[in-house]
Amino acid sequence: MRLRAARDDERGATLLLVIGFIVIVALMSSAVLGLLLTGTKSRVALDQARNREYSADGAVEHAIADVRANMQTHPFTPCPSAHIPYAKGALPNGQVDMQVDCTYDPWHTLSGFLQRNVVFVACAQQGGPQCGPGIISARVNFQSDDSAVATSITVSKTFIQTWSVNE
Amino acid sequence: MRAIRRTGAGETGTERGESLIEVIISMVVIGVVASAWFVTYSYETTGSTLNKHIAQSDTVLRSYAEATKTAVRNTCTPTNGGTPFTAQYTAPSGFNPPTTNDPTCPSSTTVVKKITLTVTFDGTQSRALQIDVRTP
Repeated sequence: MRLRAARDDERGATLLLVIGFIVIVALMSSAVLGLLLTGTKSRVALDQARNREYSADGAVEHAIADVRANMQTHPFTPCPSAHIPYAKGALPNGQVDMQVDCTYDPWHTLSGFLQRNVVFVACAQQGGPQCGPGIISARVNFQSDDSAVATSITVSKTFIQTWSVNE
Repeated sequence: MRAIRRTGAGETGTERGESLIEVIISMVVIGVVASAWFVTYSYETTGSTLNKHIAQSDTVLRSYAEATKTAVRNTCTPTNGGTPFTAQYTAPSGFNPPTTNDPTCPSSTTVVKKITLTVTFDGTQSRALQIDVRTP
C-alpha cells in the first residue's frame, strides 16, 4: 500500500513540468510580441511627427510665396496678415491645419542698403494667438534692387537666412 | 485468491509502461509548444527586420526630400518653369532609388508645388512623403 501511495504521488509530475514549460514559453512569446507591437506603434507616432513637420515646412513655403507676391505691391507691409492660415488640404501630407506667424523685420546695412527680411513661425492653428516657438521658424530675405522708398518693387530672389525645426 | 491475484496483476499491469507514455506525451507537447515558439520567433524576426527597414525608409525619405529641395534651389529660376531637376541621392542597399512624381520646376515664383516622394524596399513595401517646393 505504501508503494502504491508513493507511485500515486509521482503520477502527473511530468505533466506539471510540461505545463510549467508551456507557461514559460507563452510568457516569453508574449513579451517578444509585445516588444514588436511597441516598435510598430512608436513607428506610427514618429511617421505622424515627420509628416506634421513637413506640413509645417510646406506652410512656411506657402507663406514665403504669398509674402513675395504681396511685397511687390506692398513693400512696407509685406505680410498679408499677422497669422496666415493654411488648410491642411493645401499642405503636404494633409495632417493638420497650420498657421504661419509673419513679422516684417527690415534693417539696413552699414552702407544704408535696405534688407527686406521677414520672420515666419509655423505651428498648428491656434485660433488667434501667436505660435510661440512653433514647429518651424525661419528668417527669409527678399532681394530687390528697387529703392527703399519705392511703393512698387520686384523681388528677384529669396534667401533663407535661418531655418529651425523646433519640435 | 483469484481476486487477490487479479488485483496484484492489475496493479503491476496497469502501471507498466506508464512512465514511458508520460514521457512520450510530454515530448509531443513540448515539441508542439517548441514549434509554436519557433514560428512566433520567426514572425518576430521578420517583423523586426521590417520595422528596421521602415525606420530606415524614414531616413531615406527625409534625405531624399532635402536633396530634392536642394535640387530645386540650385536648378529653378523665375524664368525656367517646367525645367526638370535631378536630386542627387544614392539610396542605401536594400532600397530602390526613390522616385518623384513630377520632378520639374514650379511654373512661377509665387507658385508652391506639391510633390510626392516614394521609396520602395523589401520587394513590396513602399513609403511616401509629400513636400512643397518653391523657386527661390
